[in-house]
Amino acid sequence: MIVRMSKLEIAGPKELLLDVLEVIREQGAFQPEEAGVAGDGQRAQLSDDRTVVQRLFLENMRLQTGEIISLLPPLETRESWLDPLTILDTIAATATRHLTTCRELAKRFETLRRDLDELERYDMLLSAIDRLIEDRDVRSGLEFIGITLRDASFVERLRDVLAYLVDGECTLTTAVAADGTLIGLIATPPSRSMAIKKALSDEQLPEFPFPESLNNLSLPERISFVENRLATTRLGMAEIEAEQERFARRWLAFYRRIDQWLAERIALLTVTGSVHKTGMCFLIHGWALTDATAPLTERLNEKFGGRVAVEQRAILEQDLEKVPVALSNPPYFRPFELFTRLLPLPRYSSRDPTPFIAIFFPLFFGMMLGDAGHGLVLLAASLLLLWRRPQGATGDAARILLISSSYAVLFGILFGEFFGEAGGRLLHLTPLLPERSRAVMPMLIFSLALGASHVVFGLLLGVITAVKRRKRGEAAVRIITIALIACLAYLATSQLFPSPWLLTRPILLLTGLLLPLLVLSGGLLAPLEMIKTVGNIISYARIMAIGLSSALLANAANHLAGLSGDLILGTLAAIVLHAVAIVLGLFAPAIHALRLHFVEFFSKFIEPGGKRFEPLHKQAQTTKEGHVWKRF
Amino acid sequence: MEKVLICFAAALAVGLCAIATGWAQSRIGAAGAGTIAERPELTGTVIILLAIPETMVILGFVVATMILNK
Amino acid sequence: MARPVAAPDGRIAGAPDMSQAKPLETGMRSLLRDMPAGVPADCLLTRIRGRRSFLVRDWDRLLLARQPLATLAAAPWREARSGAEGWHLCALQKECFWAFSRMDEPMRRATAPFFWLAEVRTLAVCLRLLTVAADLDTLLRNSLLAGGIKDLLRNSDGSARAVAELADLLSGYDPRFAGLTDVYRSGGPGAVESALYEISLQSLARMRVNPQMRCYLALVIDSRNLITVAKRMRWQMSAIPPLLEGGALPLPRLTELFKHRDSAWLLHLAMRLGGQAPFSETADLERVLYEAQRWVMRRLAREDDIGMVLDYLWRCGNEAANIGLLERLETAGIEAAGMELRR
Repeated sequence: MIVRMSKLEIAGPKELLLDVLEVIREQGAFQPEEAGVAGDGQRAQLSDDRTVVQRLFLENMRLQTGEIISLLPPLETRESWLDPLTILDTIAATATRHLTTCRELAKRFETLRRDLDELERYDMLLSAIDRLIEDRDVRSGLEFIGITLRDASFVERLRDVLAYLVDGECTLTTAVAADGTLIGLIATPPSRSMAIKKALSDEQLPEFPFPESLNNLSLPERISFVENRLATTRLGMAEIEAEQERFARRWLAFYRRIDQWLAERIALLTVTGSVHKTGMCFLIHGWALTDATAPLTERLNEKFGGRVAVEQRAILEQDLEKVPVALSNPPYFRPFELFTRLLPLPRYSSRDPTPFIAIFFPLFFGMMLGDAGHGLVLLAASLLLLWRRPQGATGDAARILLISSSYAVLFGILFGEFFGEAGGRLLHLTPLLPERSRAVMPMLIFSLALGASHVVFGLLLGVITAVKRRKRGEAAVRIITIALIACLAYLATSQLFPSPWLLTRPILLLTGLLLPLLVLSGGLLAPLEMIKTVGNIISYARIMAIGLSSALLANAANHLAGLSGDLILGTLAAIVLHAVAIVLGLFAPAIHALRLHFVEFFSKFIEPGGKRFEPLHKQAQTTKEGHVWKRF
Repeated sequence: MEKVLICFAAALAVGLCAIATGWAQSRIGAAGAGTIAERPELTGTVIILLAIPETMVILGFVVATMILNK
Repeated sequence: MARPVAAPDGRIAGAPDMSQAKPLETGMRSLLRDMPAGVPADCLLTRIRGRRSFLVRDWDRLLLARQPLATLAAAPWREARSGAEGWHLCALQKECFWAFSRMDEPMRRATAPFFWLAEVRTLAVCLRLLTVAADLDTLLRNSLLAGGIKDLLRNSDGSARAVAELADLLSGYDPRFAGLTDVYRSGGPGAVESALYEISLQSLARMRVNPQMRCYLALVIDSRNLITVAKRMRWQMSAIPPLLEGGALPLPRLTELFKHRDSAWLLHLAMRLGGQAPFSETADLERVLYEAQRWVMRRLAREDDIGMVLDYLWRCGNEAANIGLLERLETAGIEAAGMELRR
C-alpha cells in the first residue's frame, strides 16, 4: 500500500533553522522538497556563495580527517563529546599539521616494510646458499653465481648447457630454500663467469640480484650484514608503530568525533539549499507521513515553545507528481516487496503493486507447478531456509516460497498429482480437475479465461486510477477496451460451445460499434493497443504450457524409473529425475508468474516514476565514493 | 498423408517459434551477462527480461495444440 | 605471436595501389596480439554502456571544486588509481586491453586500426626507453602489440637497431614504413612516432574497413590536416607539408585556404566537421575541433556496433588527458600548467 502523505510548511525565525532541522532529523519523518520546485513566486534559495564556500571548507576538512583516521591504527576509543564549531579554525590548522605527521610516519613505515620484505627474501636465499657453500673453500678464488630455478626439471638441462659452455669447469649444486624455491649455486673460475652469466640471462634464468651495498662483501659477511639490517629494520618498524599508536591514543577519538560532526554538518548544509529564507525567517516546504505529522508538530512546539509554526497544506493536483512515495504493507504481503523492488517505484496517485502480486503470484505458481509431491519438497525447503535465515532478502524469498509451495500442494491435490499422475493414483487421489497431461484444450481455455479476467481486473484498476487523476480520455479507452474484451470472449465462447441461446449477431454488432468509439477516444493507436491487450491475454496460455510440461516431466521421470526394473536403481533414478523436475518446477513457474505480472498485468494500471520518500535522518549519509558508485 | 501434413505443420509451428525465441534469448542473455557484470543489483530484472521472448514459443505451442486438436 | 611477415616481393618498389588492399586489410589485426576470443558482442556493448555512465560529463563543474582530482567520482577504468606518476596512462592502456580482450574475433578485426593507432604511442615510448636502456616490461605487459613486435623491442640492443628491425617488419604491410630508419636518423624517436602514425593512417585510409571505423579515421585525418594548416598559418610559414589523404575534407580546398590565409573558413570547416550548424562561440580552432569530434563520436556511439567501443575509449582517452593536465596543475602549480597550455 502507498502510505498517505501530508504536505507541510514549517516556518520560524531564521536563527532557529539549524536547530529545527536537527529536530526534524531526530524524528526522521520529514522530507524537504527539492530546491527550486516550490512555486508561488518565491524562489527557493539555491545554495548561495557563502554556503558553497562553507561546504567546500568542510568537505576539504573531512577529506583531511578521513585520511588521518585511515592512516592511524584502528584503536577502540572512548566517545568524544566535543563541539567543534567554536574552535573550527584551530582544528583546521591542527589537522593540516597532523596530516603531514601521519603521512610522514606512514611513508617511513612503508619504506621499512618494503625493505623488510626484500631483506627477508635475501636472508632466506642466502641461508640456502650458505648450506651449499659450507663444504667449499670460499677463498679458493672461485666465483659463485646464485640462481633461482623454476622447477627441478631445469636442473639437468642447465647442467648440460653448462657442460657445453665451459667444458665442465664449473659445478652446480642445488638446495631448497625455506619457502620451497629451488636455489642453484654455480661455482666457476672468474674467467668463465661472464660466459655463464650471459647464457643464464639468455635462458631467462634470473641470477638473483643483491643490493649495491652487498656487492663487495663475501658470502658469510653478506649473511651477517643482512641479518643485522633485518634486526634494525624490525626495530625501526616497531618504533614507528609505537609512535603511531601513541598518536592514535591521543588524537583518534578527537578526529573520529570531528569526522562525524563534519558529516552531519555537510548533510545539514545540503538541506539548507532547499529552504526559503527571508531577512528574518525561514520556510521549509516538504512532505511527511500523515501519521507522523502530529508527533513532529508536538516535538517542535515542545522544543521551541510555539516560535516555530507547522502548517498542513492541501495536496493540489499539480503536487501529485512531486509527492514522494513510501510503501507499507501488512506482514503477509511484505515479503513480496522483494519483487516490487525490481520495478521502478509507482507514482503517489498510482497503486502499490505488492498486494496484487502477493495474491496472484502464488496462485499462478501453484497452477503451473500443480504437484503435491514437488510442492511438499519445496515447502520443506522453504521451512528449512526460513529456520536458517529468517532475516533479509533470503528470509523474504523463503516466505514467498512457503506460500507459493502451499498453493502448489493444493493444486496438486486438485489435479490428482503426487510426483506425477502415477503417484496420485497410488495414493488414490481423485482428480477434481481434468488431468493436465490429457486435457490440453480445456486447460488452454481455462488459462485464457483466467488471463482475460486478470487483464480485465488490471484494466478496471486502471480506470480507477485514471478517474482519480481526472484523465477522462484514458478512463474511457480502458472502459471500451474492457467491453471489447467481453464481446470477444463471448464470441469465442459461442464458437467453442455452439448453442442456440448464445446470440452472436447482436454482439458482433456491438463490437462493430465499439471499434470506432475506441478510435475516437484513444486515437489511431488505440486499436493497436487493443491488439496488444489481446496478445497479453493469449500470453496467459503459458500457465497451461508450463503446467503441461511440468506434469509431463514428472510422468517421464516415473516412466524412466519404472523402465529400470530394479527397485534400488529405479528409486535412485526417480530421485534424480524428480530433483531435476523440482528445480525446473521452481524456476520456470516463478519467472513466468512474475512476467505475467510485470508485463501483462501491471502495464494496465501502474504508472511508474515515483520518487522514494527519503526523510532527513539522524544517521548522516556518508558521502563515500563507494556509495556514489552503487547509487548511480 | 493428411495426418503427416498436420503433424508437420504442428512441428513447424513450435520449431520455428523455438528457433526465434532461442535467437532472441541468446542476444538478451549476452547483453544481460554484460549488465550483471557491471551492475549485479540488476540480476532480477535481467532474469525477467530473459523470460520475455518465451511468449513466442508459447504462442507457437498453442497454435500447434490447436492444429493437432482439429 | 606475430605471424611471420613475408615481404611481398615486387610490390615494395611500386607505389601502393588498390590491388594491395587485400593483404593490408588483415594487416593491422596481425600487428596486434593474439588471444582467445572474448564474450559475444552484445555482452561487451552492454558492459561498455554501463561503464560509459561513469565517465565525467561536466568538467567545468568539477573544476569548481577546491581539489578537482580528489572530488573526481570513481569510474571503472580508473579503478586502480594509484596516484603514481602517469597512472592515468597505465589505466587507459589497461582499459584498452580490457576492451580488446573481451571482443570476439570479427570485432577485433574491425577495431584493429584504432588499437594499432593507440599502440603507436606505446611503440614510441618503448623506443625512447630503449635509448636509455630502461625496463620495458611494465609498459609491454598490458600492451596489445603482437608478440613478434614485443620480442623485437625486448631483445634489440638499442633503439636504432629496433627501428631498423621494425621498419623491416612493417614494410611487408606498407612499403612506406621502410623509410622509418631514415626518419629515426634525422629526427629521433619523436619523429618516428609521428611518421608511424601518419603512414599507418594513410595505409588505413586505403584499406577496406568497417564503415564506422572509416568515419573515425576520416575524423582523425581531417583533424590532423586542419591543425597542420592552422599551425602553419599561425607561424606565418610559406609552405605546408603534404597533407594526409583519406579524410572527408578536399585537400585542394585546404591548400587554397592556406594560400589565402583564410582562417575564418578553416574554422568554418572545422565546425562543419561535426555535421552541426556552425556556431561562433569561440575562435579557437582546437576547441571547435574538439566539439566537432564530440559530435561525430556521439553519433557513432548511437549505432550499436564498434562505434560505441570507439566512442568509449576515445572518451576515456580524453579523460586521461584531462587528468594528466590536472595532475600537473596540482604538482607544478597553475603558472606552469598555464604556460604549458599556452604553448
